[in-house]
Amino acid sequence: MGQIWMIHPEGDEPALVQETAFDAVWTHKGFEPVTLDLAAASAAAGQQISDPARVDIEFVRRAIADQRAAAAVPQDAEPAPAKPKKSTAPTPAASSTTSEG
Amino acid sequence: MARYFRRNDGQSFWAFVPAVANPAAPTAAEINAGINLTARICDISGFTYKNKPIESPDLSTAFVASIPGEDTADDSALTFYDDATSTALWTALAKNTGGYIVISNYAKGTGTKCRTWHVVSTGPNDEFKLDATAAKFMVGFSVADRPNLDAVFPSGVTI
Repeated sequence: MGQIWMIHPEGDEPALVQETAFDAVWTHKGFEPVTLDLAAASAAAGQQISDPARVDIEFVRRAIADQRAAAAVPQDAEPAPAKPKKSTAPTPAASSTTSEG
Repeated sequence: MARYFRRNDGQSFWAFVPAVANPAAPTAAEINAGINLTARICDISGFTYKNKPIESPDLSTAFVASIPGEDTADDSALTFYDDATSTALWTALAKNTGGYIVISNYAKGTGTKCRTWHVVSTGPNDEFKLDATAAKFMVGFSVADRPNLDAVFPSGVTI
């Protein structure tokens, strides 16, 4: 039974729980999973880490900060999406690409 | 002196909270993200914080003096009424799950003292009895850190 780090949007402290408990209980309480790069965690720790429970909590906190920053970026920085009606019509660029293929 | 009864309606509050940033002052958001255990608890053991004095006799007297020694917490466990329709609590308190037991003895009063116990579940176990009692299960806890017995209960706890 695997374990997973989770964080509540209104909290700053991560928690390690069983995946089954996350799915059955904690996701309904608003917790979100923390996405961990275990390869980076292994590199940071200087040893192979395959179990999230062995990841240093400071690494988890940094991952949460990155995750929150990444979630905040699209709302602030991304331009407005292209007009959806035009996306279905063929464009000169699209036609040339097709003809080349 | 105002004595009180722990089982008065609304008097006691026990919750399992997966994450608390500052055990001396759990926030309402942290507690609200936890599970209110109060109505499921039918027995409590442990959750006592003790010191084991070290005897330090000396040659000058027959009296055995002592000095404060190791701080310890008794083995702790909560017994819950089982639920025929939901295994959420059993699942949430699976073996090796860490978190905090937040205890308010004072009706969740804002600013009142509360206790925060950093615990790790040692796993749930069914309690099998053949007498006429409601089905129960017990969850043992190891105590991961010194409990905070003078934490401050926040306002805005709604669970």
